[in-house]
Amino acid sequence: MTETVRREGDRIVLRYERFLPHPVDDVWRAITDPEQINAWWGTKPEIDLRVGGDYVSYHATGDRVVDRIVRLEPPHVLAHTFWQHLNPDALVTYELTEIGNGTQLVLTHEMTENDLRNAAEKMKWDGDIYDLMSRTAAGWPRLLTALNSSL
Amino acid sequence: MDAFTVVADPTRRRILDELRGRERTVSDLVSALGVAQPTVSKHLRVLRDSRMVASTVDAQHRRYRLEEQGLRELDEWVSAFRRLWTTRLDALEAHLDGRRR
Repeated sequence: MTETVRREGDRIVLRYERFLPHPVDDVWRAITDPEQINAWWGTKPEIDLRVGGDYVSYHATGDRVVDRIVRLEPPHVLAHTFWQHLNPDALVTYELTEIGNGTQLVLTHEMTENDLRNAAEKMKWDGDIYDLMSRTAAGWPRLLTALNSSL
Repeated sequence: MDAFTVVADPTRRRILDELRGRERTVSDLVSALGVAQPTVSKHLRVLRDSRMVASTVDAQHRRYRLEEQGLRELDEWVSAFRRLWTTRLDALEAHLDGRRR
């Protein structure tokens, strides 16, 4: 598994890559079937599986979050917005590639500095992971580098 | 001012960048950034208050350097953020492994 954080213009991109020893169709179902998502994400979303369709998720905080499917190329690409009311430009993309009998999964989560700043202004710190996430400082990939070189 | 707000400012981010791995005086920073001295001093004060930089005085110069404490706070945020997806992907993997068995 590899994990990288990089900056592309004003966008911050988190990228995770891992090999799953399962057929691509199985992985596709695991990320698009609400029952299966419930099993690994912990809450069951409502998904209108088409481009422009709603991706509604529920969270431990009681939030009902309506996102939108932006790309859909079964069984290879699924992209949806992520907390679009707080982060209008944030996007989560799953890309699946068959490798032998397994699947290479590349997950990217990209957002702009503005997304982070807006979210931070709207939310108060309460220790919740999403709060934490949306407040994560603009420019932190550079700071992380600064930290690594200073410690 | 919380750490987020502190680093949201581009000039402060540039100052932090300049301090990577070395100490700098205010005039070093003024010439490196091309920003007026009062502006640099103002931002340094904010960074010092949030414990992202520290300073020492030697002879007549005050030298600034990165400080662990404030930066660690940011690092914790980053770690929590990264854990979100790592945890989810671990769960996805376990889920798929469980179904095959």
